[in-house]
Amino acid sequence: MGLRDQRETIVNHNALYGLSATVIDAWDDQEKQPIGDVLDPLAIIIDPNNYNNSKMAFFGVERRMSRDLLENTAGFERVKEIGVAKSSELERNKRASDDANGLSPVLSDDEGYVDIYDHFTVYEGAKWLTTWANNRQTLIRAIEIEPLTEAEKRKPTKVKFPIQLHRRKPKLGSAFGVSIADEVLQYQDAISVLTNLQLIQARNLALGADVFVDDRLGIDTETLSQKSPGGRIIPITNDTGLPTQNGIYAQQMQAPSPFIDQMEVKLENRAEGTTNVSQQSFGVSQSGTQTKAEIQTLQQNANQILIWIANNYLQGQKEYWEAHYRSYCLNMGKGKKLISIYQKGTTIAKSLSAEEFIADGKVMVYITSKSQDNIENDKEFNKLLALADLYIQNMKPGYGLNDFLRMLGRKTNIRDFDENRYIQQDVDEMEASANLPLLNKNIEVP
Amino acid sequence: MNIKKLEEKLRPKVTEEYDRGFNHIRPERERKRDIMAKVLRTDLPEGQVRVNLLWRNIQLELALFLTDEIGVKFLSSDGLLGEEIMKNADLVAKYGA
Repeated sequence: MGLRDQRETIVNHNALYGLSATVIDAWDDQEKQPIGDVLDPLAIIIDPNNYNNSKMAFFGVERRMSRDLLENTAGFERVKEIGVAKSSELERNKRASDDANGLSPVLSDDEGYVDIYDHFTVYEGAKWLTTWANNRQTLIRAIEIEPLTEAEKRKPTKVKFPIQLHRRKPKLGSAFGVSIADEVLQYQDAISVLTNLQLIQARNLALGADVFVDDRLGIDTETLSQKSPGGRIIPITNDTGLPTQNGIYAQQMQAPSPFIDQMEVKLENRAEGTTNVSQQSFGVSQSGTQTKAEIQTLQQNANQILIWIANNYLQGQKEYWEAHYRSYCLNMGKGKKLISIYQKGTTIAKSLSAEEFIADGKVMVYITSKSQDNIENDKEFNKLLALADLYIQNMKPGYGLNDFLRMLGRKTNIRDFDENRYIQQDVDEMEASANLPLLNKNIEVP
Repeated sequence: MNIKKLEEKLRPKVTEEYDRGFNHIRPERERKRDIMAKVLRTDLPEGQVRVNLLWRNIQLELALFLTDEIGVKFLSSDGLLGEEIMKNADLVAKYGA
């Protein structure tokens, strides 16, 4: 699965279930890259104590896999001992999904597919990936997850499982976080009921409702048994003595109530209040009654919560990329990783050996969001601009001034703006640049 | 260790953890299956409509978070040499993942 598809699936899973789980559990030796997957949130088994981040004592997931693939994947043993036992939970997930989508169930080929259960656990102080078949009775794979850093080698329980849990809004005490479905479904149901009532009312207004017919008109029973366009034809006995030419009466209809519309808007606003994703998130005001200040305040509040959700998604990405890098450290070995880099309109190929992109020391991963970076960048540009007059007047020409002006140029964020073209290196800077390769090779410079 | 011996040793622990985890999430799993059946169904009775607030919100959240570009940056404790290596790691994450 591509990275964009993976992120889309994570957001969709969170929308419906409040949780998404990814795993990096394999290595493509041909492409020299880790293999990751998004797991079915309804097939995972979570440590009850895990409701925030991905630290857990154990983790499990049920999967349906082709017997052929299992036989041809390194690490699996005793594949011939696997029977046709199917996981009832996986069957129920499949049925629920097929029912919901109006699809006929696909009869699975009993011989061709097997249900397996991956369980990550701690055994004798080390972390293990174990895979089970035959309803968790037969162990078909057991791999110790290797320690990598010095700290992990000293204490193997520090090793992380290669599982990442992504929650848009973590919920205290719950393995699942808060989904969009949790937040809006009750409002959706209520608004749907009101809308359907309005629909009935509008249809009756358009077609007319029940019609009452004076039985002195002598209309035959066959006509009476038919429906009027909007309702029934109901014979009544009129003993008021009024003439028969007034003998057809339509049911009195009430004008549509504006209260229903008001109620729908109110419910929709409440739903937006819980998700904080509304038209206002995009700077659009639906109601003409709000002042500019009110709209700005609402938008700021909504933005803060959206930033919180975005940061929660980024935390999951951080854990994913940590596991990704770790997989390179463990599996890259010899050989080269080929990448094609797209820069300034051209593509160049670059091949890298392990020591060229895997460092010996401690490595930290930072995940950046371009939209949030842009907001921060604009703020910093304005602050720098405010200081520029004062600073430039008091700076001597040379490194400090050059650096300040280059930073100001970078913060403009103008595409293809190359600040080095306008502020060129002075002698000290050229010397420092020339010394850099020597410093990289730990050669002392004069 | 022989896999059959490992199986004997690991099975009680795995069974205990599976049961603990499964019993904890079972009611929520059921509820979520019902939600799926409810929100994904399109075969409504004739003449009825469903105001689909959920899909609207999902689309807005997808639009907000997928149009944003995510960058991956690695930092090493190995000083200048580490810095150069980490620049390559950034490239691998961006172009080779």
